[in-house]
Amino acid sequence: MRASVIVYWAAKEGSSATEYEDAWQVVPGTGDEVPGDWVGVAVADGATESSLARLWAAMMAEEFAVTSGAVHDAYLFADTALALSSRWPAVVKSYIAERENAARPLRWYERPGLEKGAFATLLALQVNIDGQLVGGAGTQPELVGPGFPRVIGGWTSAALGDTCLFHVRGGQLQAAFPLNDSAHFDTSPALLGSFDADPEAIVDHVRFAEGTVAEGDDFFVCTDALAAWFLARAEQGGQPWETLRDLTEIGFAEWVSEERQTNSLRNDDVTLVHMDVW
Amino acid sequence: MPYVAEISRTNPSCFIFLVDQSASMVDPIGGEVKMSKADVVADALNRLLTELAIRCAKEEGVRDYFHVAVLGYGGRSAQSAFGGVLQGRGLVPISQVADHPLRVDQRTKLKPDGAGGVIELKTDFPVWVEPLANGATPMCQALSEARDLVSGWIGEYLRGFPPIVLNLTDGEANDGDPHASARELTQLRTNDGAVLLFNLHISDAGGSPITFPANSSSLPNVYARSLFDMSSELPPHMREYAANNHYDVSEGSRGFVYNSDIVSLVQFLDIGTRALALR
Repeated sequence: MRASVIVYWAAKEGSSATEYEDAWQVVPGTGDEVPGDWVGVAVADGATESSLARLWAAMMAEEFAVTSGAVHDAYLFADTALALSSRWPAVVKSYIAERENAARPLRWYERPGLEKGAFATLLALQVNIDGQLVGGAGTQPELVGPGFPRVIGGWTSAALGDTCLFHVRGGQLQAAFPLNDSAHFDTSPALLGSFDADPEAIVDHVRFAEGTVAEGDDFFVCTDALAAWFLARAEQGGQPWETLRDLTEIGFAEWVSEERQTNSLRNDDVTLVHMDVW
Repeated sequence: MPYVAEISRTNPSCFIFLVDQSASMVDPIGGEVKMSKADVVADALNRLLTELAIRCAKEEGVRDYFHVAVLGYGGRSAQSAFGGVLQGRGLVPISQVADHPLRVDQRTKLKPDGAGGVIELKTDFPVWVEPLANGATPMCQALSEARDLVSGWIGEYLRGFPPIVLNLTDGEANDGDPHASARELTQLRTNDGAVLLFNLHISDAGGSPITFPANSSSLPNVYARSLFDMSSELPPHMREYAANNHYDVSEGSRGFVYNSDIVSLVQFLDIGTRALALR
């Protein structure tokens, strides 16, 4: 596929890398030219105030990056989430055993958090490239020509919470999903819980979006602090995607640090997945 | 905008609890519950400390988002009410508070069983402070000690979310007018706003419980009105959280509670994404 995928992440300032509680998964993988004609991305953001959030976020990202039905259908999304939560009691049991084996049994203040479960937001994105459309053959005739993008496929996304997807085409923000206003971020987003058992509650909160993929498109998946920054810049008439496109692996940490110092970026774990279709 | 500072380990906040341990606290609160005011206040304080520790708990231990002091006042003095390893300590990181209760009791909690009945659950109940009732009520001295602690803390954490001082009392100060001491305390400020003074009034005067009122018209007696006058307004963000959690609050609502639960106050502060199930 003529697309590159790169992932950047940074732990909250004052936290160590082992305390980073976002998680991400890209299938088949990151790189300058992703093999195949399909890419699955999932980013989860573990809630600070929950125990084992990092582990739960990692389980969610791993599963939702590859479960294709979950990005189309609310009940399949809920089924996927509930299948994960059915595995959670064994994860907790194993964690407690590990702690006991390490002569570090649970303290009284840890038990309520473990009983409540872990929580995380989630955004899953799947991009399909249609081989027949690449190179022009079969491209919708009305969209071919100077000034029109060459459509080569489609994307679908599912989200629960405030991890966001931004789709940029031709210097314009095509889609901001599921939030499109920087004022809509707070400390109580919808979260998937590791003890969730009610599919209807999940169905009520999950959101879906879809669109086309054209040569030159950019997709940015951002956890909440970066998503809020992105939208705030766009609301001020800026082009935040240009800033993110220009980042490099080394430059990302420095840029995050600078933005935090000026309070432009809230101090939180930050994850960015950038897919550049070329 | 004030009261928006991040609360983190690098930028912690501060809680100072003032516990009335004077002789009048031995009186029962009245009604059907057979507890003394001292029992009620000690219970509230232990639950506040428990909730704070649980909110800050992660896999590696309790994160020091808060520094905490507990001052007891009764007889002639106001002094640290911590016992055991923490005896005599002033402000202590919450991780050390969590690790050093005097003991951890077991309590029974009733929980719906989902089929119309209830089941009994054993839960841990850590105890840091025992009920005490002795001598006079040096509330002014307690507020003055709190001011000294706060002043030292602000010197070190000027960028922090302003300290919260929570006074748990029956309101019968007898070492002077506590308003002056309260004003001196709440004039101190970090870059993020002035110190917040809240009051839990435990009274045997009866009447309905009152939570975060915006005026004193419904308060039953002079002690309640006095404590209300001393109490800071809830900052907008805390008020918003209270409203979202079904408290009847309005602009001007103060951090004052009369014969009701104040433990939820701990939830009004943001320390990161809240762990809330889908509803």
